[in-house]
Amino acid sequence: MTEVEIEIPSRSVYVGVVRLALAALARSAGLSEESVDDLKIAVGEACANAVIVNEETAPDVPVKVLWTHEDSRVVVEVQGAGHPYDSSEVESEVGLAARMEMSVALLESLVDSCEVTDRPGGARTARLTVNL
Amino acid sequence: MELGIDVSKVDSHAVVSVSGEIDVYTAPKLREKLIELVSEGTYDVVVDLEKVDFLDSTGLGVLVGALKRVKAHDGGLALVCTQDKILKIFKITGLTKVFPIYSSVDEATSG
Repeated sequence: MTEVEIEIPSRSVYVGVVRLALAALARSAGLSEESVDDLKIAVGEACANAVIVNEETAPDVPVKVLWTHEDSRVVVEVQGAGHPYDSSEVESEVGLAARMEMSVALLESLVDSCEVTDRPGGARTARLTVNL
Repeated sequence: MELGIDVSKVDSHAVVSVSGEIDVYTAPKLREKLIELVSEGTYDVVVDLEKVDFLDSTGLGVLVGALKRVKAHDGGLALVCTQDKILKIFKITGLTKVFPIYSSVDEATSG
């Protein structure tokens, strides 16, 4: 099993850094180019959602991304201070709810499973799984 | 992670050629450009995505917002895209039914 942890400040400029790093990790794990592209989009969405919610609710809390490569699967956990893809917390701003709806559609389509778990202190983790 | 935006005129259309990555960080730059075009009275817009490497939901939101703005003036917004990885994003989100998508700028401006 291989684990890599990346932590970024909750600012949108750093989401691209996570995408690049995760694409490199996915290639090293032997994923096809199409699967690398899919994972890049899914992780980018989960990270952007976490950053958007953190910027609103907890701007000083970083977003953590944990990559785990096991024998038969790759798991990427994105930990934010708020719900990583729940529109209810950011509906105040016009257009964000529609964006979040598209984001969830992308997340649900591009990885084998996508689930959210609660963590102590109100924070949540989006867990994306790709079966190898 | 740079976003390039180049605007040219073809007949009555503004052709916005975008290059690079349209994501949560760069999308506001595209939003501003599209709002500027509409405020200048350009309501027929073609967004050329052929040189775009990455597009996320924030970028999609910007395109949908621009479509609403031009439609409010009886205009239209068409896309140029032949890249499978970008088309896939429009298909998953159901936006292939919302935007006319062409394979070249020529087609989009005559369509």
